[in-house]
Amino acid sequence: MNVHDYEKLWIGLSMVLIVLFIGSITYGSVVAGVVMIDDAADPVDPDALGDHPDFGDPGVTQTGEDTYEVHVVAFHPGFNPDVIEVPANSTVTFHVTSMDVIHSFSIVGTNANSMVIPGEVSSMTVELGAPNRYGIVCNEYCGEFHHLMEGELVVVPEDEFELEADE
Amino acid sequence: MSTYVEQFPAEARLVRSAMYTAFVALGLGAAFGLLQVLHRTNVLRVIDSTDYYTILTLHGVLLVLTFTIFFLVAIFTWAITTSLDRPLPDHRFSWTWYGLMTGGTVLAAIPIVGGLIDQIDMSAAVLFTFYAPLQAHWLFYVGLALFVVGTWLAGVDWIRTYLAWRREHPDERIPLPTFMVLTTMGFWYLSSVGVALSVLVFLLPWSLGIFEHVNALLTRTMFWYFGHAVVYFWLMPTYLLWYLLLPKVAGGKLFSDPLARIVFVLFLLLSTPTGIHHQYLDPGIAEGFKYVAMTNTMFLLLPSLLTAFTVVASIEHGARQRGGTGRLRWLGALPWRDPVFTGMALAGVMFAAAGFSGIVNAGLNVNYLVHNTFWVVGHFHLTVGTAVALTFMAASYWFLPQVTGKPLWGRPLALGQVLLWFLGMTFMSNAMHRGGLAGIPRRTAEPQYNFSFEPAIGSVAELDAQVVLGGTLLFLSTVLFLTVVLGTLRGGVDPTRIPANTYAAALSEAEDGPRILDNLRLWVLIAVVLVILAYAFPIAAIVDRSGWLGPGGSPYPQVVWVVEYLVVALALR
Amino acid sequence: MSRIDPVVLLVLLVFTVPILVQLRTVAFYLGFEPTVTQSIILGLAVIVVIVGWAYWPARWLPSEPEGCE
Repeated sequence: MNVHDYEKLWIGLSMVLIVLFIGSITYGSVVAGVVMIDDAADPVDPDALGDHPDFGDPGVTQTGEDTYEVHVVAFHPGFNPDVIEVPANSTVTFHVTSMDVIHSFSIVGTNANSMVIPGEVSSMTVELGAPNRYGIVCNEYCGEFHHLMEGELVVVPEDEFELEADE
Repeated sequence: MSTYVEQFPAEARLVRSAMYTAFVALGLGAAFGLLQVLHRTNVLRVIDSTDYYTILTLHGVLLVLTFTIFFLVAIFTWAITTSLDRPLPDHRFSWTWYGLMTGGTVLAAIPIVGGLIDQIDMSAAVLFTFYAPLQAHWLFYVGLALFVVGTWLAGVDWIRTYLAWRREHPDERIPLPTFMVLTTMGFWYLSSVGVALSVLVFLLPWSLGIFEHVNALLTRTMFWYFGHAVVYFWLMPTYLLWYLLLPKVAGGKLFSDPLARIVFVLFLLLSTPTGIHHQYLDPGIAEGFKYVAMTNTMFLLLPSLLTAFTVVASIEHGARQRGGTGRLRWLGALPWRDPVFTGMALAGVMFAAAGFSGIVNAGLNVNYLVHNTFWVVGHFHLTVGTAVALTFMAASYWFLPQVTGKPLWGRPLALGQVLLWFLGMTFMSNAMHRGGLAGIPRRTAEPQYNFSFEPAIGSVAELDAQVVLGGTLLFLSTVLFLTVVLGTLRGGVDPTRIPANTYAAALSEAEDGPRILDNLRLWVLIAVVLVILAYAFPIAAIVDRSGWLGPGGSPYPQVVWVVEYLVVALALR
Repeated sequence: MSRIDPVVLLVLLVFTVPILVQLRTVAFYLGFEPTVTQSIILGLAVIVVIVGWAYWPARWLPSEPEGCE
């Protein structure tokens, strides 16, 4: 088969480009440590979230000195809790599930972004810096009031943070 | 040398019908697109935000299923009959698949439109992706299934034509256009089985109340098993036109026939085992499966990069045949007055830009930044919305005369139309990409929340203005396109003023390539193995986690649900 | 009488538009922050220059036969 010299060169460069792309993504996973949303959490019954030990009473819990967990239940059209307050300079793990259809949990202006699928739990850990306010949206169409679905993440100064008392 | 309608009058009628159906879908889809652009940006709201999603469903289904696939069957029928130089074996059979596709479209459209009319108790505002547990009226699923079966039978029609030819020509190489059709249909059968099973085994029985619930992650995975391959199903007729028609109208020959075959074989192999790249951010799927999908996707760049080379080389050959010289001056010698050429060339340029945003989407962890944002909408308006749609419109200016015997009317208008599309998409797609980077979601009626989005450059108002400007130009371009089509159809038949029905010959011909390229059985077999490798474990894992029918959950929307959440929605406001 | 075919000029101008639009990104990246109006004026200026170039009499090519248009 005769392949033109320029074309051989082009194919070679294309392969180099592809390998570089795959390499950069691999670097992001292995070296920079960007973890993908995966199958680590066990499935849950979307109709029985009320009985679930964590999703039955969603919200913020402290798990270590600077580490927190937030359980969120997505529903059409909102998040429970809809305002999440966490302290600055902390590491926060969000666990999000849905009680009805497929949603997303996306913190605007950051790369904290996940699909939320009924029956599955999306877990993502983020490092939070200085005090700030972020919008949270559902960016997967979930029904006719989809556009009303929003929440807020409030990062407050460490000394102003107070954990809500558990009932 | 004569026109297609003189060579194959019966097939020309079929091709015409399929094209007209595609054009009707294009016109309607474009009008809905304009409505959405004006609504989202809050410029003009003629519908309620709750109805926006029905309009969006129509826009998506009419453009990416009806317009593209009806045009595809037209092109493929032309390609098979022209390159094998023989008619389809049985015209009743051909009209049957055309009827199934049309009937399926209409059946699916009934409940979607029903969602807009209060008196009709049906709806299907489930968008093009119809993710369970969002539920559509069962007619929607039936329509979809009939449409897909129609495309399967169309494939059978082309394969029968090919086999009949093969019996008479046992030792000849498969003509390139036929080769392209057969490889494309290979991955279409392979991938659409996934969505067909999802619809027939799970979604349809569930919508009829036979199952109480379905596995949301499983049906979603089965959708994307098909959902990325369908993208290449739109793109392959586009590539076919870039390989066969573009070099011809540029005045030259296709650079290399064997490399064109390699490109189509690569698409056959890699189109389907990449679908999980739409699910990078899905819970319940292990990172390893996502990584495999990422590497497969990156390798899919290769056939597109090869295409870029071949197409540019073929065009340059054409320009030099026309007297073009110099390193870049040959560009001026190309037939820019011809809307067929200019439209396809501009579509190709925009597809290159789409490649860049596609790499970002394909980048496993980079995808966090853009997943389901407006960025993605910008991306696929460059791919299916320009590379495919603009190529189809430009090619129509060549095909319409071929299948009607009527010379093209309003050539300057046609040229203006393709230029206008390019301009409109420049603004709309640019602003969509930028908005996505600022976190503006896709698929939403009102991206106006209690907080504001902060684009890195400029303001949201500026991006909105670009979307409105672009969307309006695109709508005008569509109107112009339909005007040229109608103008042409109103004209008289005059085959003497129409170029003969041929396609580009190749500089490096089929015989230069190894015969193994034509061994379609082998390639299909490898494609099946790759699909099994990429999908057996993820599907098994999903079913193992929560069963074929999922861990529970109810279908939506429900009447009570709507009332309940109306209250919640008002409270949240 | 133009230096290039008017249709080629038109295509060239259309092709310039995405470059101009993206030039705004480059400007921000380099630290200039043009307003929308400034960007539009700059874009129009570039287009005027291209049209001017196309139609300016080519004095250094005195007796070349004119194009077909």
